[in-house]
Amino acid sequence: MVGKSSLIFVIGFGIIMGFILINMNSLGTRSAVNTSWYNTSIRSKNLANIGINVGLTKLSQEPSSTESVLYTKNLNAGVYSGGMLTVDWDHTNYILRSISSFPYGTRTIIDTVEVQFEPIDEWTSFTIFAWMTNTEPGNAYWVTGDSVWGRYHSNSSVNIHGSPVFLGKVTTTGSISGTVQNAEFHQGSETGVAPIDWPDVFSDVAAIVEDGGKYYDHDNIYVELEKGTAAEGDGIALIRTSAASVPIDTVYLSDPQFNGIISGRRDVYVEGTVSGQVTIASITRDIYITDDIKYQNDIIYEYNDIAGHNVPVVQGRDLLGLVAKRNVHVADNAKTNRGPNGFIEIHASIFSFDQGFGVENYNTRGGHQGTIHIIGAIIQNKRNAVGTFTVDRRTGRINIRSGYNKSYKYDSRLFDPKNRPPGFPQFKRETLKIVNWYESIQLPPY
Amino acid sequence: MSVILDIISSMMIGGIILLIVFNANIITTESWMSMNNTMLVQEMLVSTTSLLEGELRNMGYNVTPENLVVIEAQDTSIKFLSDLNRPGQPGFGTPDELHYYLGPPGEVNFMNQKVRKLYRRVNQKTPAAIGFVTKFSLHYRTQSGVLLTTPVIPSELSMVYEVEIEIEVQNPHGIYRDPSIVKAGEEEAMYSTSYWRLSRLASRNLRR
Repeated sequence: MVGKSSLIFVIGFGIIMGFILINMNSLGTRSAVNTSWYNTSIRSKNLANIGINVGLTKLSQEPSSTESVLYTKNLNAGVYSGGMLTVDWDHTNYILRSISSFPYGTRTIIDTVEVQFEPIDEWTSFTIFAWMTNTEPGNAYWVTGDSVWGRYHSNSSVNIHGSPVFLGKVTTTGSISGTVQNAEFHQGSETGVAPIDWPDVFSDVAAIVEDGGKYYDHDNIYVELEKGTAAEGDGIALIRTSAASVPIDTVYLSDPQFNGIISGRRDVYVEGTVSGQVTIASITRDIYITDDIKYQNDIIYEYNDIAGHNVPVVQGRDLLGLVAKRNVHVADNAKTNRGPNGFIEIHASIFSFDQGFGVENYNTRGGHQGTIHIIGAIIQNKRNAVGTFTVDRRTGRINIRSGYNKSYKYDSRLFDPKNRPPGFPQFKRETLKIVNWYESIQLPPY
Repeated sequence: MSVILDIISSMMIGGIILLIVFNANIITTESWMSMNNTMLVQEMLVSTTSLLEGELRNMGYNVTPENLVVIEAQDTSIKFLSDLNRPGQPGFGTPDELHYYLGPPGEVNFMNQKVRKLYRRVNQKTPAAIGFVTKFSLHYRTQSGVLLTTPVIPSELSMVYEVEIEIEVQNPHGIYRDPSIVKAGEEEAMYSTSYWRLSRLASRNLRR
C-alpha cells in the first residue's frame, strides 16, 4: 500500500518537476532573447549609421549631387548578413536619410538616421594643400628624385617621368599621364575630381594684402628678413630699394600695429631668417628669392602615423607667405647655385596668381644646381619649370641638365586654421553644413 | 512478520524520497526565482536604457546653434533640449525640454532599500517613472575629453560634448538569506543585478 503511494508520489513529483523545468527553460530562452534583441537592435542602428557615413562620404565628394538614391545594398555575409541598407538624398530639402532593416525572428527591425544640411559658401585657405596648380603645361614633369610631401591637387593633369614620390594624397581634375606605374603614391591618387575655384581677380587677394599693411610704392623693393632674439616672433624686415642701399624702413614683426603684410608695387626680392608671422607680396609683378629663407625656430622630423613617414615639424609659430601677382622665382645669382649635392632652403607658403613658382633662367643657368627644399606650400596658377633633364636611353636614368631637383615638404601646421600666414589667399567652395542629426529610437518588444 | 518488514522498509524509502523531494523543491524554486528575477531585471534595464540612450543620441535635435543644449548637468540628473516630434507631427520645430533624474531615496518601499525610481519629465508635465534602478550615474566630458566637475556650472554647460552613463538595476525583491550566513558587507538577501555602462555618448547635434 505504502509502496504504491510512494510510486504515485514519485510520479507526481516528476510531473511537477518537469513542469518547473519547462518553465525554467522558457525563462532561460527569454533571457537569451532579451540579450539577443538588444544585440540585434544595436547592429541595426550601426548599420543605419554605416549607411549615413557612406552617404556623407558621397556628398563630400559631390555636394551638388541630384541623385535620389546614393546607395543601396542587400548584405548577404558577415556581421550584418540579412540586413538591407538604403541611403536616400533629398537634394531639394537637403536631407540625407539612411534606412536599415534587419531581420529579428519573424519581425524586422527598421532604423533610420537622418541628417539635415544647410548649403553654405565656405572660404578655405589654399594652405590646406602642399601643392596646388590651376593649369599644368604639357612639358612640366615630375621626375625621379622629386618628392612632394603633403596633399597635392591639380585642376588640370599631372605629368610623370621616372619614379617621383608623392607622400600625400594626389587628386587631379584631369588625368595622370606618363610612367604612372613607376611613381610612388603613398596615400593614393584620384583623377576626375571637382576643380578648386581659382580666384577670378587678384584685387580680392591684393585687397587683403594692402589693407592695413606696409605698402611701398617703389619700382622694386628688397626685403631682408633678420632674426630676432630667442624670444618668439621678434624678428625684423629691412626694406631697401636696391640690394645694397640703405634701408628705407624697418618693420618690427612683433609690432601690434603691424597687420603682418608687407607689399611692393613691382618686383620684390626676399631673403633671410623669419622670426614672426609675415606675408610679403608683389601687387603687380614677381617675387624673387635671392638666398635661403629660413624660419628662426628649429625644424625637427617626427614619425607621423597617418602619413606613414617622418614629417617636418616646425617648432614655434614662425610663418611666411609669399604672394605674387605673376611669378615667384628662385633668382639666378651666385648665392642660389648650390652645386649638384647642395640645397636651397625655402620655408614659406607660396602663392602665384597669374603664373607660378619656378626658377629664373631654369634652362640656361649652367648645370645641376642642387635641390630646392621647400617646407610650406606651393599654390600657383601655372606650373613653371625649375630645371631641365635628359634621359639616358640605355639605363632610363634621369640626369638634371640645368636647374634643380625638387623636394617639397608640407608644413603640417598650415592645415590648422590658426596657423596661416597673414592674409594668405583663400578659395570659396560650396559645402553643406550639418544642422540636425536624428536617429530613430528602438524600444524592446515587451 | 514480512508485512511489518514491508511497511517499515517502505516508510524508510518513502521518508528518504520525501526528504529528497523537499530538498529538490527548495533548490528548483530558488533557481526558478533567481532566473525569473534576472530576466525581469534584464527587461527593466533594456527598456530603460533603450529609451535613455535613444533620446540622449538625439540631444540637441532641432535646437538652433545659439541655444544651449544641455541646460542642467548633475551626477544623477540631466536636463537638455531636443525636439521629440518628427516632421508632420504637431509641435515639430519647437525643442522639448527633457529631464532625467533619480527619485529620492525611500520613495519606494521595497525589500531592496537601494532601489529608486528613474523619472523622465517632458516640458514641465507630470514626470513619469520609466524604471527602477539602483544606480544612475552621469559624467560629462569636453570635446578634448576633459572630465567636467559635477554639477557642471552654467558657464561650462556649453562645453559638454560627451556623456558617460552608468545604470545598475537590481530586483526590488531578493531571495532570503539566513542571517547566520551573511558576512560583513554582504547583502542580507540575494538580488538579481544587471549593469549597463555607455562610455562617451556624443550626440551628433553637439558636434556642430
